[in-house]
Amino acid sequence: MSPPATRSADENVRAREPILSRHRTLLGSSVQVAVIGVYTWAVTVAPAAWSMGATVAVKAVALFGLLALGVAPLAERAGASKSSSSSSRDTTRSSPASRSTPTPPVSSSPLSPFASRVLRWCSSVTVRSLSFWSFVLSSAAVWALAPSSFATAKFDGLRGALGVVGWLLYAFAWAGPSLDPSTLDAAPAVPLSPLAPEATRTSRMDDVGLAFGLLLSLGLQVVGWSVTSPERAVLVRIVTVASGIALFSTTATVLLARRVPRVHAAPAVRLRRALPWMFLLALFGVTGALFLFEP
Amino acid sequence: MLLDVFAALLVIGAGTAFFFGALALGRSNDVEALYSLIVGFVALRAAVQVFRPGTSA
Repeated sequence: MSPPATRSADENVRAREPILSRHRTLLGSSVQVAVIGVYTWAVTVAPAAWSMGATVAVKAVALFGLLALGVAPLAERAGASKSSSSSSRDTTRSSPASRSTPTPPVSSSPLSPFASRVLRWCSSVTVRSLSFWSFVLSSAAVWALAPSSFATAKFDGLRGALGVVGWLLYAFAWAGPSLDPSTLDAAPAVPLSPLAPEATRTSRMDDVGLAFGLLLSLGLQVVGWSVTSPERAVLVRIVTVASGIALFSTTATVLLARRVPRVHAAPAVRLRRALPWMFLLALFGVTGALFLFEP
Repeated sequence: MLLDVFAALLVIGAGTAFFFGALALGRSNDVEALYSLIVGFVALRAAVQVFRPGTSA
């Protein structure tokens, strides 16, 4: 009969942490690059690969590029688990008590053992470079194999501009240094910032608040998709995206403001500070009601 | 605690105002859209001022 599975103190602490803190090590630079890459792929590569007359080979090359994007984050994560396992091995060596009770290696990687071994064999920098060049060259191959999608009559100017912005962002994101996610837990969030040391860990309130802000922002994006006039539709999209960003950034600002070490103001002071804005809000409310119920 | 709930309600109000503003913009009702968007912005600013903690320590 196997002994009951025991978890180390570190694991218990991590299990009690809210989602954002627990999975922060997953949010390395490669994940951010991959998100921008998916957007760029969806705007510039996918329309060409799935245009009229594109062959199955073109679609396969496009999908290969998308797959290449996902490899770098997995390699980064495998590198993180490698460094964490090596550090735990060092701890095990240094502690005589732990020598008598060896703990099984904990693998947080969702990959198969073979894939993990391959990714650990390659350095994360090599995999990042391979992922980058695979994505760029496969995109170029798709455009070369499906040139009809760039015919002047079919080319959408707005989509072209969005694609240029996407590739620009992708290049900027890749120019950033490769981060080692295992060091994120030890380092402060922002050096020399006014954030308190405990600000590097999020609370459940932060998770709920951010999810709430995200839901509000995404809810705005469902509006205006049936507008017939193209100019009006673009205007609605710009307004809804700007409003969504304002809502989400306000939520983040408010949640961050709670973490700065400050003297808590009395409720009366907080209300007095908000008074001009509350007055404006009441004024708009009254004028709106008067306008609405005008005989 | 009560003020925090009030601030959260203001954020929800701002989101609702933005929503109706975007709807009005889609219907080409520009005055109503502008009004709703301004109300949303003011509600958002009020929420930040209410939620913000006190002065720096």
